Amino acid sequence: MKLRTHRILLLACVVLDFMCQPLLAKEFCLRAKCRSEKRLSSELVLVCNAKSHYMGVCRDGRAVFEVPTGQEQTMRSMAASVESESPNIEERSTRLLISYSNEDNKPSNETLKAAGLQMIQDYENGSFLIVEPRGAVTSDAVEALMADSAVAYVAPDYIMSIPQIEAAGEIRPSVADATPNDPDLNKLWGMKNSGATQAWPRIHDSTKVIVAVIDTGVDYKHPDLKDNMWSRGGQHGYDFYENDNDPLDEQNHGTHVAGTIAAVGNNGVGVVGVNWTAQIMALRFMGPDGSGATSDAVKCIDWAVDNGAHILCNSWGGPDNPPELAEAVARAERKGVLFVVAAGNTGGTGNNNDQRPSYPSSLRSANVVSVGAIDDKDARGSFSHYGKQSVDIGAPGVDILSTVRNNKYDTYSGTSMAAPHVAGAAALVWGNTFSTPTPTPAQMTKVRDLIYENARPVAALKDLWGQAAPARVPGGVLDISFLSRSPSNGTPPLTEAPRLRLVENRMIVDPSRLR
Amino acid sequence: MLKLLTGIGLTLSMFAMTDETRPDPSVSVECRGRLRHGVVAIGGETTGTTITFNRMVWELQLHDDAARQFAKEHHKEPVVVTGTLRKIGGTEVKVRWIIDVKKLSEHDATKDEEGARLTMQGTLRAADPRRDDYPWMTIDTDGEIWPLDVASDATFQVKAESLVGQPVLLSGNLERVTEEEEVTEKEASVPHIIRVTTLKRSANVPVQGQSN
Repeated sequence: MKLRTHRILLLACVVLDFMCQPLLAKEFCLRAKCRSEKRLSSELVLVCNAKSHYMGVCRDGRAVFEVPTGQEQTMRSMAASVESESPNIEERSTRLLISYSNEDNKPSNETLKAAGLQMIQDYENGSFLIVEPRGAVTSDAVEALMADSAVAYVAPDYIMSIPQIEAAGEIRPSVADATPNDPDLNKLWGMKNSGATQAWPRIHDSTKVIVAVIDTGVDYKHPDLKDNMWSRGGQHGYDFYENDNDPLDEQNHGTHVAGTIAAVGNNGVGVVGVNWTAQIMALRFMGPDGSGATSDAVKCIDWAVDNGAHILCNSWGGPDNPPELAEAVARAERKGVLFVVAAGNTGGTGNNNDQRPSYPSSLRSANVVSVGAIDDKDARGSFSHYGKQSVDIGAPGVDILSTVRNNKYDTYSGTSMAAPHVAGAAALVWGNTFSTPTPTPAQMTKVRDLIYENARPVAALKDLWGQAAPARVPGGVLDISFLSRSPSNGTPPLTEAPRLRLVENRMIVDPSRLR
Repeated sequence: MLKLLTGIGLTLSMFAMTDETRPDPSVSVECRGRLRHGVVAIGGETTGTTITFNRMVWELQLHDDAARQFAKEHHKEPVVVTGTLRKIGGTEVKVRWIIDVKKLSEHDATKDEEGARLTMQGTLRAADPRRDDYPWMTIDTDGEIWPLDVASDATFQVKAESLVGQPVLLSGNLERVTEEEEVTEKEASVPHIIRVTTLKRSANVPVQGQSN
C-alpha cells in the first residue's frame, strides 16, 4: 500500500513536471540544483547509470540529479539555468531524499553515516528518508549509498516556492526608481493623497491580481492600458450590453475607471494607475448613454467571478434593490471576491444612503466596500453620497485625470472615480500580502481589513462614513502608505500555508521543453 | 378601463394645460414609449426607470409604490406616461431629463406611434439669422431654450412672428434634431425640436426656476 502511494506520488510528480513545465518555469523557482553548466562538468559525478537513468551528485553534495538516459542535455540545461535563477547557493536546499524499497528494508544508519549524512526524518508515508549532509558528500559516499540494495534512489529535496521577489509583489525598485516617468504624474493628486506614491518605492505591481471593471467597457487598445489588460485567447472580457466578446468602451467612463486602477506605469506615456501593472478584465453592460440593465450587471459579476477576478470595480448604481443583484454579490463573497462600489452621486448636495439607499452600494455583504469621494483638501465631494452605516471609506474623486477612449485623457469627478482608487489599492495590497493571491474568503477579508484599518482618519468626515463594521475608521480615507514599510518593519507577506515543500523525487524532464 | 381612465386623465390634463392661467411647472408632457425598470447608471445617477421613444431616453421619477409596482410589472412594455418634465445637471451624467410621473398606464403601440407631446409656457424668441447651426425660433422656458418648428403653414408662421418677445403658451410634438442611430451623451444634451401645433399668447410667464 505504501509502495503504491509512493508510486502515485512519483507519477504525480512526473505528470506535474511535464504538464506544468512552462508554468513552473515562470512561477516557481526550482532551487537546489547544481551551480552551473561549466561547473557541472567538473563537479558533477555520474555515479550510476542505473537501467534507464543517470544518477549524479554534485561534488559538494548539495544536489543529486536523476535524469533519464539520453537526456544528458536536459541535465545540462537544468544546470545552466541554475546560475540565473539562484546564484546564491546558500539559499538552496541542502537536504536529500533517499527512497527505500519497503518498510522492512531501509538504509541503515551505518550506510547514512558512511555517506556523511544524518537523518532528519523518516517519512514513512512516502517511503523515504529526509537526510542532510554533515559536510561535503564525496562521490565514493554516494556510490556506497547507491550500492545499498535498500536504496531505490536519491534525489534532492527540492524546495519549490514562489520566488521571494514575486511573493512580495514582483519588482522592488530602488527609491530612485519609485517615481514613474509618466508625464502627467504631477496632475494625479489622488495617487499622493491615497498613499500610492509612498507605497511605490517598495511595491507598484500586481501582475497576479485581476481587477474586473464592470462598466461601459474599456478601450483596451489605449496605449496606457493595453499592456495591463487581462487576456485569454485574445479576449479581454465580455460585453453583456451587446452579447459578444468585445467589451470595447463606447462611452469613456469605464476606460477612465480602468486608468485609475492600472494605467501602465513608467512607460513615458500619459498617466499611471495605482498599480503600474495589473490585469484589467473588462466587463461591459452599460451603453453609450451610460446606463444599463441590472440583469446584465449580474451577468458581469458572475462572469468575472467565474473567470478568476479578485476584485470587482463597480462605478454604477441605482435606487432599486432587486434580489438578483444581492444574490450575485453574495455569490462573489462566497468565492472570496472583493466588491468595490461607488457610493453614488447626487448633484449639488449628495445623499445620505442610510436614509435613501443606493444599490449595490448599500448592500451589506461582507465583501462590499462602499466608497465616497473626497477632493484634494480631504473634503467630501459636494455630490458624493455618504452614510455613517452604509458608506465605508473615502477616496479621491474630484478632478481625477485618467484615460479615455482613442488615446486621450480627461478629468472627471464622481464617486465613480473614487471607487477605482480603492479597487486599485486593494489589488496592490492583495499582491503584496499574499505570495499566491487567490480569491478566497480568507484572503479577501484580510485585504479588505487592511484597507479599512489603515484608513487615514479625517475629522471633518467622521460623521459621514466608516462607522459600521467591518469598516474601522470613522471618516477614514484611503491610505496605502503602509505598504511602504518593509516586511521586517511591518506585516510580512502572508502565505495561507507554510511554504510549499514539494517532494520532487524524479527530475524527468522533456528536454524539448527546456530549450 | 385603464385606457378609458387614461383618456379622461389626458383630456383633463390637456384642457388644464391650455388654460392661460396654467400653474407651474412650465413643461408638461405626455409620452408614449417603452418602459424599462431596474436601470442602473454610471455614478448611480438614475431614477432606475426610463421611457424610450424615438431613440430618446427620459428617466421616470415614480412617486408611489403603486407606480413602482406597475413599472416592475411592465418592464420592456409600451406605456403612456404623463407628468412634468425637468432637466437636471448630473455629476457624471451631465444632462438628465426626468419626468415626474403623474400617471402611468399601458399603451397600445399598434394604434399610436411612440413619441412625446409637450405643452409649455415661456417667452417666444426670433430665430437668429447669424446662426446657421441654430436657425430656429425658440421658446425660453424655465431656464431652458427649446427650438421650435413653426413652419407647418405660412399663416401659423406669421402668427408666431407676431408673438416674438411675448409670453406664449404652446404645445407640439418633440422630434429629434439628429437622425443618427446612436444617442451619445453629447447629443442627448442637445434640445430636440418641437413641431408646434398650437400657439397662443399667454397672460404671464412663470418665474424662471432653477433648472437643477
